[in-house]
Amino acid sequence: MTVANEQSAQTPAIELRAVTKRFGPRAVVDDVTLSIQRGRTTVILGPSGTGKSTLLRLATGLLEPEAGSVHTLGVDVFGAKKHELLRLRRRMGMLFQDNALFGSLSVFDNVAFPLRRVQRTAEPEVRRRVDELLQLVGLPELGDRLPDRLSGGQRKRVALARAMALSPELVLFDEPTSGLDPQTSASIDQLIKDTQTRLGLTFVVITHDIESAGIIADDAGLLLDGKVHLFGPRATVWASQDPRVRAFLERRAG
Amino acid sequence: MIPQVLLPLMLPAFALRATAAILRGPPLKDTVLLVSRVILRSLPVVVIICFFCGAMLTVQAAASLAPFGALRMSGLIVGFGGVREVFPLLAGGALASRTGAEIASQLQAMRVTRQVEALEMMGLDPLVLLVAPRLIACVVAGPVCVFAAMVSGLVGGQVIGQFQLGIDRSAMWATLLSAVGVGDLVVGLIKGVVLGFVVGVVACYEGSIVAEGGARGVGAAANRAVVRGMVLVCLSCLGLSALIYGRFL
Ligand SMILES: Nc1ncnc2c1ncn2[C@@H]1O[C@H](COP(=O)(O)OP(=O)(O)OP(=O)(O)O)[C@@H](O)[C@H]1O
Ligand SMILES: [Mg+2]
Repeated sequence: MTVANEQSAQTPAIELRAVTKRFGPRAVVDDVTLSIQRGRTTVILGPSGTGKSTLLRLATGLLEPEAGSVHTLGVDVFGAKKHELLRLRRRMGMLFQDNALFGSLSVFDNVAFPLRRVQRTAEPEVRRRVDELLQLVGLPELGDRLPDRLSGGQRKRVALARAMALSPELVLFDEPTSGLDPQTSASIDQLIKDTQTRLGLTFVVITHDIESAGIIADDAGLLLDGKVHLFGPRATVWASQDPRVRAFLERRAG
Repeated sequence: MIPQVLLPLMLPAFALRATAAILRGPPLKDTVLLVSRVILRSLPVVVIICFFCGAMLTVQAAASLAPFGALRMSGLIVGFGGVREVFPLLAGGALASRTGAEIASQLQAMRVTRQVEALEMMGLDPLVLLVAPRLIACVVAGPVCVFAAMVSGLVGGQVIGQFQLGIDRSAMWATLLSAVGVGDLVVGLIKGVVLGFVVGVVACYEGSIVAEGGARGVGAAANRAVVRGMVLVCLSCLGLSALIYGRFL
């Protein structure tokens, strides 16, 4: 389930080479080269509006860059044919920053959607798996609700359950704990950490939450003004004496 | 944003891709639900508009024919002009304003809330999952609406003929129906399929393209779907009539 063969195991989970993405004249991602390793959790940090979400869209082929190449799970995202790209995406899960829950479907049906439509799982198994996932994110009671009748934090947790439904080998989390209370945040962190170590999956997590990053990250990168300011093992990043890194990690106005 | 001048190029390209998506197996249950929903929501509008239109056409016909002592022939106008031209056109207009607006705003809302990207991230194709079922629904609803439009238009004519003009019931029906042949019914149903397709393609296109973001984009998409849908409905109605009835000139 995790890795197809040894060769693909050696390629990075996500590899960006000299990628530039512009919105209008402004380069939101500016000549970024970055390699995210498999089988670990990589946290991307950075102030609001520096292009973190854009980076994830580029890695999944939802956005096309003006320059550079993107390889995800060994597939050339912008060289691939449409069906190859769709096949690649079935190996990934994504938690969108604004959740992107299906508004016309109940919580249960949202989480069941990838199981039913992508994996064509039999209905008793769907029921078992969805109950398990909702339990995991702490929402076992809310299966029948529509998303617009949930709180922001509850919605986030439903989106999290949906992103994990197919047990994908690569999961991208865009701010999984923003808008959650400290206790729920901590339990989501624990969930991410446990799942990652148990299944050896590749997680990429965007977060503003330094504390949570300290718990879940194996590697960490700091994005500033569309560039990777620093990237490496968490310990190295945390020990960096670079003034802008320190300012960010210590939450000082920089 | 896509400039307006490119529309004549973009729309046929989208129509081709949407039609191809129909062949790639859209979800059956969604499609059936959408077909019934589109028909149920459009039919009342169609029936009301065409009932009144049939009645009005009859009044005008009677007013112009009465001086010649041909009051009893009033039904012919509704039979010819109404059934062949006006009722199908109105059915298309009702479909565009009711269903076209709904489809465009629904799809555009899914796009701005990134539900479409969520589908794409599951390795699913929104064209097959969202667009194809809606296009099928419109193509099926088109002829149903046109047929209902014809019937309710004729009933409108009959009602005014019987109650205001005092033409007796069976005579009124006889003149109404004497103008309508099986051929007209077939042409009407063909028009219905074409109108449904046109309305569906325009609505799905406006719902799928990247326009202004947010709630304003959703409203604008619905608006464009109605306006452009109506214009194309008129053009296709004229085109089909010229092609089919124009041959007998
Ligand atoms: N579709 C778009 N069109 C134009 N500009 C965009 C678009 N998407 C993003 N941007 C701009 O690109 C920049 C980076 O956006 P992005 O969403 O990647 O930021 P982010 O790092 O995820 O921020 P946050 O932490 O607030 O989520 C922002 O300045 C934003 O205004
Ligand atoms: Mg973001």
